[in-house]
Amino acid sequence: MSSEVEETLKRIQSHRGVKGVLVTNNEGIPIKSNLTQEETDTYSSMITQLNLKADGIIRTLDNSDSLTFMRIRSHNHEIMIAPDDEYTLIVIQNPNSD
Amino acid sequence: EREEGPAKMTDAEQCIKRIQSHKGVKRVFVINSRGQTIRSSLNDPEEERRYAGLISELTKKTQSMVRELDPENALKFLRIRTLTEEIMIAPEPTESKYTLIVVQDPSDDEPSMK
Repeated sequence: MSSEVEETLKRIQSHRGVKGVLVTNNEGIPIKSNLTQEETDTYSSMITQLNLKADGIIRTLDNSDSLTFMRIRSHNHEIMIAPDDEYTLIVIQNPNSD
Repeated sequence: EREEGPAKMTDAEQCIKRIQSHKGVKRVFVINSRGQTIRSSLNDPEEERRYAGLISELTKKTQSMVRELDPENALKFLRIRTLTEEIMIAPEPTESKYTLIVVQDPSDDEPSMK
């Protein structure tokens, strides 16, 4: 991973309220994470599935459209998902640190 | 607890009207727990059904993911951004009432998200 990417990930990771930062490839395999192995595996498999479902639904509604960002807010945390062609960035943060 | 009946509908109608008139808002829906449209700013029942059904499915899947990660947690809000629009979903956590869906043009938004 290039140093620019590393720096960006570090910056996100050190942001107040950020609990986890994950990068998965386009098959949903985690390639970078600051969480435990178990958490990494859990989050990456669930979010990859959800990502696929969401993107599929968007394309069903309009096949020229596609998912660019998703924000899941719950009581305990906020999960932000930024999918792209090759990688997906997932950030988990405290929901009140907007 | 909320009351059923005309009073509640008027409040809800006013709320929906207010959101609908906000700059950039394309569509507003209220759906029930079965994915049926209760209120909509569209006049196309076919389109409504399709939209409501799919968004409802996605909301349910997201809700169950959140619970699987932590059974005491619950989904509060879902925000989906696509190339052409931004869909905001405010589900009722108890799953027994209504979910509000607002679709807006993301370019009319302030760049606050990322």
